[in-house]
Amino acid sequence: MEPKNPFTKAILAPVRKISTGDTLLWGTLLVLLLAGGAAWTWQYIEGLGITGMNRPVYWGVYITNFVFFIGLAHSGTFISAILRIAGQSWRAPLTRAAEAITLFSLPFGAGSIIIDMGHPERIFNLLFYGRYQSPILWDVTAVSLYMLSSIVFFYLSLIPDIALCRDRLTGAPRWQHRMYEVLALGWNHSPEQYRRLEKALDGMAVFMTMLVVTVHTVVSWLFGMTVQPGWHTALIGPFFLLGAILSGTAAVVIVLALLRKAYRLEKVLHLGLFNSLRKLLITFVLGWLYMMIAEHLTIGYSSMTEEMVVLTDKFSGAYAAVFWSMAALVFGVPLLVFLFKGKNNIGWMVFACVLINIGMWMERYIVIIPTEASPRLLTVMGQGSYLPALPEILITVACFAGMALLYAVFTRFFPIVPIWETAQELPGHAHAAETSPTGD
Amino acid sequence: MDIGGLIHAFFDNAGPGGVVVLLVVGGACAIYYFLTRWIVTAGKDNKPTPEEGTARVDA
Amino acid sequence: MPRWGMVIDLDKCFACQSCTAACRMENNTPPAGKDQAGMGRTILWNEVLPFVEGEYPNVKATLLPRPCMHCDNPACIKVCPVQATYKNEEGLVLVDYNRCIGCRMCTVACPYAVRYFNWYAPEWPEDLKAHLNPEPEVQPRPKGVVEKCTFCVQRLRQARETAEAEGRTFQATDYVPACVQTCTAHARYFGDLDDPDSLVSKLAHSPRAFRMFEELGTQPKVFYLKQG
Repeated sequence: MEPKNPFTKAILAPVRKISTGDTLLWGTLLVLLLAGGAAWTWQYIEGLGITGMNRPVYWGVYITNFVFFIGLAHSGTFISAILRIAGQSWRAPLTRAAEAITLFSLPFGAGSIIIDMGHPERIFNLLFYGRYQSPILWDVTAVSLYMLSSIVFFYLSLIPDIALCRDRLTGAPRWQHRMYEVLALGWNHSPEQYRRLEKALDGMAVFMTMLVVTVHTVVSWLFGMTVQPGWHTALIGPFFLLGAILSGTAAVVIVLALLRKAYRLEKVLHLGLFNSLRKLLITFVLGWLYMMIAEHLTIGYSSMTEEMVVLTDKFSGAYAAVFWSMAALVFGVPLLVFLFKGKNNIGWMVFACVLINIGMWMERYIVIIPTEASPRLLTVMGQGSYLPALPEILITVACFAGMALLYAVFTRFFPIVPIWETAQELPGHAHAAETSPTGD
Repeated sequence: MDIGGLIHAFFDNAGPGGVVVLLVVGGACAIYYFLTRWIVTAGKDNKPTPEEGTARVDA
Repeated sequence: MPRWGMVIDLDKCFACQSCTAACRMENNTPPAGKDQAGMGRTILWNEVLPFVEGEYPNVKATLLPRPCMHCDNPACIKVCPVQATYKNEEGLVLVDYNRCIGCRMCTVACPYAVRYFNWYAPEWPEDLKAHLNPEPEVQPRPKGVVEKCTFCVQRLRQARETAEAEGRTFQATDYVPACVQTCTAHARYFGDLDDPDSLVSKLAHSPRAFRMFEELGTQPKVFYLKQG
């Protein structure tokens, strides 16, 4: 007794059809990933000296990547957990695509911290000698719990669809079929299973929402807990959180458009989804502007000496170009696009969302670097400067490539649209028919 | 008992932090294991589900 | 237990940098080389920093020798996730090089920029290598860890051992860091801040005394005596 979904065939179609294009794409991404791995090995042997980091800029793009990827990870939890609690049933077709971003960007976020360490092999010192006053321990707790919970949340909602794969894709290679069998945990689509699954997911959604707020706040406290100018503000937590949700939601739009095109899912990932996301994104972009003004006006108005040094650096100094193009990329251009061009136009939406994500990476950069480059001892030490070196660029590219690779491979083995969640009828109870995709 | 001293000792010593991380992650693993079992075993009609009472859905 | 502290008289200091050189030899900090120095990666546990206030023609320059402040409430210790940096019972802020994971959060958190990271494994020219200080506390640090001024903690141990060998009780005056001993102008004073009769304690209470970034609440144990 399977869930009745008229789109089951269309959703399952991309699974296990590995084309030449796929092999090429995976190959390219794998090469990029391996290049990053080689760069890391090189860095491990030589020391962090081969990066562009220095004194006083002790943290560079690795920490920027850490904040960015953890931020990107908030997409999935936002779409599937927060919107689940809010009863937004339109989100159903895109939950898995969004959660997959969470799942595949988290390892690279957490990994960036390890890459940044001078002694990565001493990572277990965090467990043997963990000292809870340090914000790094808060990060370790929050991020590892978040990673674990995301995997479970993702897997639970995947089980019914794995069972479908097990039953339908009988022509798959033996190992693959065996994988479905094991992962489906003997799911037999009984009404009670679905009832419990929904209940569990509802409960977990509340917990995940709490985690999402905690995780990004704690990430920001890595900076906020120090007394350094530009970082030491209570607003840094909410600011990071909002930025995370903004870049995450924008990433969902990009991924949806790609999936829709590549896997011919136009019917399921319908235009209406993009229009709903557009409204959300307008709200978040404006929220981001609000945070930006609140933060910088407070600092600028009070004109405290050290704080002003960092602020002037961003507004009109060495980082002005990055700062203002960041503002244009995150806020200016996307808002105009969303308002005047984005409606019913996926191309424009993707364009704006790519800009947002480039801009958000720059925003993380501009929060981290200028503060370090202008330490309190600025008058003495002179302005610090920083440019990422080759290994840092290779590793950054590898992080993005690795995330894309995991995503691409996943979509060829599992249905990326939840079949049971978009079904018109579930065994045992009248599942929300309004969640079923329509042509719009 | 000196509560303040205990709190101070917790935050200011090497070790307790690692224990907290292990407890949180380990505890979550256990809870998620039972949660998954609770959901999946609902399909086995002939078998009663004793885990129902212990599994927590909100954590 | 003594609470070690330092007083630096800015009226006497003429920025000869002998403290920097003495520190380098005593504590085996590696020479960085031109390229690395250009990137700001020189390791100098003690530095003489020029504080320039105002703009030409109304300029006032203060030269400020800066060892580690050995704060009573250090920002670096709070953020260390593995207690690789810690304050011992005599108030010295030290680093355990075998435990440090190299996350560099302490270097970012310290407002005095006294903490240095080993970007590469340290190297010395052959001639210098023969003159490295053999004390166990200052053995060359591996790459990937943070290091900093220790108030020459090896000299404290040596002073205690000497006192014991000579069969007398250890006096606070038995121990001075290399920078204090070498200071050409006798601008540096060192001793027990908890002993009200010690010279440092008296100077630290002088009306000329101030501490760097006192407003941050870190409570440094290095005091400066104002110029002029």
